[in-house]
Amino acid sequence: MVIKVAICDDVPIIVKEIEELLLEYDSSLFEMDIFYNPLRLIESLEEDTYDIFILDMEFPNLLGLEIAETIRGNNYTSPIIFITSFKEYMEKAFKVNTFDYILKPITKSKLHAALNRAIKYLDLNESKFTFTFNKVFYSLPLSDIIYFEKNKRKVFIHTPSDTYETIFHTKALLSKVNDNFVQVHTSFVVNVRYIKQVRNNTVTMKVNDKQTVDIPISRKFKDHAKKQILMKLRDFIY
Amino acid sequence: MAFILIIILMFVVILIITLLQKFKWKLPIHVFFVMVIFSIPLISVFLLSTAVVSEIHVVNNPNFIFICIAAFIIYMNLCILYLYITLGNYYKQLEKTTTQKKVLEAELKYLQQLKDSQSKLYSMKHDLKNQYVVLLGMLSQHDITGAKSYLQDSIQKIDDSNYFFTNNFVLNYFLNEKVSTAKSNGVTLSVQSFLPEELHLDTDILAVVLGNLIDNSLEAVLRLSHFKEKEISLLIKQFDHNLLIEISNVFDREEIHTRKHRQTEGIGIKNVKKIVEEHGGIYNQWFEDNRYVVSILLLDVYGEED
Repeated sequence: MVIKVAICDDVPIIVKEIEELLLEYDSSLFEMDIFYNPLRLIESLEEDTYDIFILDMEFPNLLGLEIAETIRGNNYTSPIIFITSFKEYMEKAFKVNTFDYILKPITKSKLHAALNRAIKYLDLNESKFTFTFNKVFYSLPLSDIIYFEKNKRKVFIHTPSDTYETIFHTKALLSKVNDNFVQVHTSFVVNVRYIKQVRNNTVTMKVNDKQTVDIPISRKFKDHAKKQILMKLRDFIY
Repeated sequence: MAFILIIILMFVVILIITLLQKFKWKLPIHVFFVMVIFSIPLISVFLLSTAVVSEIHVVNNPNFIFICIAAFIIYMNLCILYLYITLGNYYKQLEKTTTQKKVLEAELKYLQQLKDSQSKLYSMKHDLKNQYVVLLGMLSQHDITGAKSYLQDSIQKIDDSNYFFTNNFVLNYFLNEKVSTAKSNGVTLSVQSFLPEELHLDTDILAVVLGNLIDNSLEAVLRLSHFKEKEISLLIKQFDHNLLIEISNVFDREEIHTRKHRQTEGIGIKNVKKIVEEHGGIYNQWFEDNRYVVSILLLDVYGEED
């Protein structure tokens, strides 16, 4: 497994520092592409994509924020980590869904902490959910599944594009998923990464950019499920 | 007769008030308001006297007295209603001015901080030249480790004198206040903040939540007499439309038993829980080694409106 990282900074010394810290983190995990000119990075995005972006916030002619906006235009989810000397500007960065920022000078502890979270967020060992239905074998990445809905013996698997159907016991189902999944109701198991809102007795899931769906939370699961949701989402932020 | 007397009395009162207003009371007085206040006791005295005296004198027209009393009572009730409304308005205004005053005070403090940092900048500029001279000296002596540690020291100094947490200046002021209160109690409150520019939440809500959390932690830390390092860390951080607020402090594990009831009934914690729940958030608290951690996740609090 290799993580593709784009590093963009116009100061060679800083780039070298980041490079060394990445190698120190894991000498074989990253495949790094370095851009001294942000425009080159934008060009390369047309044919390439990256798992993590590490960007300088301040360029002579262009704001790091604008680059980030272009990145977000093509790629919605890859974590962006900003490098900056001025914390005052960082609040503008929430628009591009900044994953984290590192205040200069860059240190090992700061960068490694951010990488830890980014890797956790990327969920690299991309586990699959496998099942057969009507004698056809399916294998879906768990990160594509929004929620499971149980109806008597059947299990409906909802993804952003499709709904699949299979047969499972709840226990067997829960043992096949990772800890991103939380049971909120006897017949519903949701993926915390798709949660948009939590209300008193419903949880709203993002289906795509425009659509959401409300899933009921039952009294039995409420307290425990809410805590699980908090702890899981906290892992990505902390 | 009595009717005329009352009217005369009222005029006298108004006259006295207006005169007093001119010479003594600098405050503006609403004439109507004063009239209402004075007419109530006057009319009640009049009613009482007519009720007592009527049987002897004005018996010839009992209906007239009845109508008179009814009219006066209605009039008094109206007066009371009017007083009630004016008082209500007055209180509303008072409340408004008090909040405005608070905001103004916050702004003033902020200005003061700006002034302070301005003068700090001046002195830093001064120092900078000296530092360069020292560095130049060190480098020409090939004392690279010395230069490195010197630079690291001065960077640390700049980071320490940072008063900035967020562009929301009310919240920034609030956090600064809390940090300095903690400091004066011998506690380090380290704040790590990364807030979005605009939140769907009101600043006061955030301030109530943060205030309660910080005060509770501060209290808990101050109870520890035998710990040397009194430290609270606060994290306020955004990601993917959600906001995480997490506070943790060193904690005496003994208190798990001795202050058992306080774990669920802490001061203000009930309020915090309620506010968090009302705004679609999740609250959790737990122990981690010798730290007590409270974590709050507010979901979908910034970004595009639906």
